[in-house]
Amino acid sequence: MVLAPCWLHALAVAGAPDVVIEAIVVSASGRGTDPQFDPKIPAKLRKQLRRAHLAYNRYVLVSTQRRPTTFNAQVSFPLPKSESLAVTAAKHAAAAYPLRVIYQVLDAKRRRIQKVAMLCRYGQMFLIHIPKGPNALIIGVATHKPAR
Amino acid sequence: MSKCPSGERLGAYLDGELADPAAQAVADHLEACPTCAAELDALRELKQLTSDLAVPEVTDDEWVATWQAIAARVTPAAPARHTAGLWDTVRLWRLALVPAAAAALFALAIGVWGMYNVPPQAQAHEVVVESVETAAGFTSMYYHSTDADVTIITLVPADTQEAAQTDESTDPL
Repeated sequence: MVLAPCWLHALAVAGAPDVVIEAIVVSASGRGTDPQFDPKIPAKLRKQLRRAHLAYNRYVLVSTQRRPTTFNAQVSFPLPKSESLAVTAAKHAAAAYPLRVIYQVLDAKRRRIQKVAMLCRYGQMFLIHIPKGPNALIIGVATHKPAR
Repeated sequence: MSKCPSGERLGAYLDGELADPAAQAVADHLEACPTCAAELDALRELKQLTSDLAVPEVTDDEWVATWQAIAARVTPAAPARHTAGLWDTVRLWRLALVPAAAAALFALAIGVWGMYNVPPQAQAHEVVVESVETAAGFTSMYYHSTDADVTIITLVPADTQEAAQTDESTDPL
């Protein structure tokens, strides 16, 4: 695969991004049935975490990142401990699922440990849950239409 | 009278998850609609029942062991090597025929039932996972609840127990 120089990608994105990819990283710890949420966690993710019933006791916001990008271009989100999340959004023909999103979780040595391809809608958030012993990292990922 | 809110919306109202204007709209509707008021009472009763349940405290060791057990169950086992003769093959096919026919009939019945009973918008709610690739030493699990529109993809290290023992700091940060 030939990669375009990053300045070219930046120029293209600066012109007209096709989508904005959002990744909200949260750390989860403890066990409990009445979880405590960091008030900085956006409401939409808090609601998803409540409904997911993951049985952690405390959720703390680590970072919120939004990256405008073009279709088929990969954007990378840093995760704690030098891990990272790479996300690519592409157009999909089906009206019910206008997006194909591919994400990859990379470890500290940039080795791919998970690659998932999925079809979804604009604004639809999914959760990536990475247990770390009794704690976990949870990443809410959503692809939005850019504000015009 | 406004349109009856969905069960999911009533649940969100009960959990205090609706913003003020939406919550007020549901409250106004509940005053005028005894059916929805009764449904909210039932939800409230259910919530009370579940909150009264004594939930045993789970230790960190038990939690780690649970993940390990789940990972072990979802990891496909290596196919067993078996050399079967022709007669064994025929006999196996005959043995498999009855359950296969039953399964086909069951699938057909479910399909026909599904065609007439799935709400049209429900099909478009799910995130469709097309493919999952996981590196050796890890297991992926996928959970989706159409009701709550929640999709979770879990990435579990297969040696969670070992990792917890070797890495004293399991804080993800």
